[in-house]
Amino acid sequence: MKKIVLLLTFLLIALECQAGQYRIVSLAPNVTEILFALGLGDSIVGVDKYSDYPEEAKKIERLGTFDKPNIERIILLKPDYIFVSSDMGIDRLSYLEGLGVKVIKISPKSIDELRKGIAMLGIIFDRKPQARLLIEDMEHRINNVSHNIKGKRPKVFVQLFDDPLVTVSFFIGDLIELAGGKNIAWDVKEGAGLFSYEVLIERNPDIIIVCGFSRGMNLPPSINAVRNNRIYKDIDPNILLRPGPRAIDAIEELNRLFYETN
Amino acid sequence: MRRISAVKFILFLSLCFVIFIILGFFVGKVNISPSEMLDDRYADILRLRLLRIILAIAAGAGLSLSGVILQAILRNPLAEPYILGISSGSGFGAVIGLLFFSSFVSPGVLAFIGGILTIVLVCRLAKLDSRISPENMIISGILVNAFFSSLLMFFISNASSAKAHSVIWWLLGNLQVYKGMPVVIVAGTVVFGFLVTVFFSKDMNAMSLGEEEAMHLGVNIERVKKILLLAAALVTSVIVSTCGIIGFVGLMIPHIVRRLLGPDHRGLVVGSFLMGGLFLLLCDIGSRLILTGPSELPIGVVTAFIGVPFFVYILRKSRKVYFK
Repeated sequence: MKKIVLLLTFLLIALECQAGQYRIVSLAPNVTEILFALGLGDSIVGVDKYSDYPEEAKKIERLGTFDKPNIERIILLKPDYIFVSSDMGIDRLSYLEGLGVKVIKISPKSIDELRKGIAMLGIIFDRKPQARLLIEDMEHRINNVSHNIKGKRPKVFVQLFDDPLVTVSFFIGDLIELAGGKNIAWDVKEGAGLFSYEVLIERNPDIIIVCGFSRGMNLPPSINAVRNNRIYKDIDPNILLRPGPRAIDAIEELNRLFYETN
Repeated sequence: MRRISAVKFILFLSLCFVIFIILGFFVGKVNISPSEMLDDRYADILRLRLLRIILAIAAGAGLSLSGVILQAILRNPLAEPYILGISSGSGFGAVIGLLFFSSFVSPGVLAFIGGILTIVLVCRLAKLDSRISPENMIISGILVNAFFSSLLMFFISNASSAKAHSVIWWLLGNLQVYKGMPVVIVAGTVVFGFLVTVFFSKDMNAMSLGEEEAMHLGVNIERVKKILLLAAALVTSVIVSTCGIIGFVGLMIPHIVRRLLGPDHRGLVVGSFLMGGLFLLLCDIGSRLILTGPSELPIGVVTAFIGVPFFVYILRKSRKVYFK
């Protein structure tokens, strides 16, 4: 009898481990990616509808968008932690805070803040070695990229939409600098907004990165990027705009584009 | 407030036009000193400013023209270019274009089709015994507007975040175009609509007395109404499909001009046409100046921000019942 009870207990513990140590809801795609990178994927019980990486994340229950999460499902899932990336919708979640769920906002605006965010998650979930490894790997790869930066830095413009002309410099501006470019929209406040077309012509970018949604506006050929045919549309916007571990892939990709000889 | 003569008013507006058009060339995010104006380096930037000035004038003039028409036909002080649902119809067309056909059709084309279909639908719904009653039109307009708004919201809430954002930016209104063609189309349509409206401005006087009175005065009201509604719809749809939704101009300008010139549509049409153009040009110059750095404000934000205080001032000063 004792043996059976012991066996059952072990089985239960094994099952517990299988299901993950924690119950986490991530309403931010970048946090989902970080959690998976730290080996916490099986602790995630719910994600927002934009969490699409890695592949396993797609199998987790979807809880709507970050600003309008499905509160009823979240209550049923009984999470210990909920992660969000912006203040939107946080008023809905504050109700859950009253029930004892920890709501944490992680919204890195630079690679440095991303590192801090990863370290923080490592501490919260007792994954310090994994977090350290991840951060070291990121630093190592950024360092490698920095060796490839030589000569004059190209001027880069990030085009989010083209009608009206909207740019984003939040986070991606940091990636451009680390990849060896110069972001011409460095002075856009709040990180995104309508960008003056006149200023685009005046600052004359050597490279235009289209991420998001382009209908192909007519740019005058006096812009270097147009004349030299250096308008790139093929980089996955999710790695450019999402402050998660894959941002380093984006830096490597951007660096390759900036310094490719053609 | 004393009424002023239409001729003096129009001369005054023309003078303002000259000043603001010149100002429009000199004001922008890039500082160009007058001596460098003709430098080759700045040719592209000056071309952009020219297109933008023309589009601002044409859109402002067209929207207030459309406002005058609708206020006269519907005999309602709240009538404005979007009251019959053109904004949400066009917006819905644009969303469909952006979400499903963005690779081969410009959203403007579908926005235009959406706007025209909306007005046709509203007229069909409002038709009773082969005549269109103004009251029915307003109700049908509100219904169609609500219906298309809900479809618009449905698609925005279900689109991926990038596409949903692009729709919202598009709807906020934008006067910066990159090609000459849209400007030519908008300006041409607006001028055409203006000529049609001027031609019927006497009939509009009769109609603002009431439909029966107009009929006694020998106006073929159903025909005039159809032609003018079509003109207003055409002008508004073309503007929305190029510039997005720019609010408030079409409501406010006709009211202000009515205060200044009186209710005679012969002066009102021309006066609103010019003043609308001037007002939007002024707002556009404002939108380039208000924010520092390379960012601009959406034009729709500026029109209400500058327009409302001005409107309140005119209304208070004239000390009369609205819409007289």
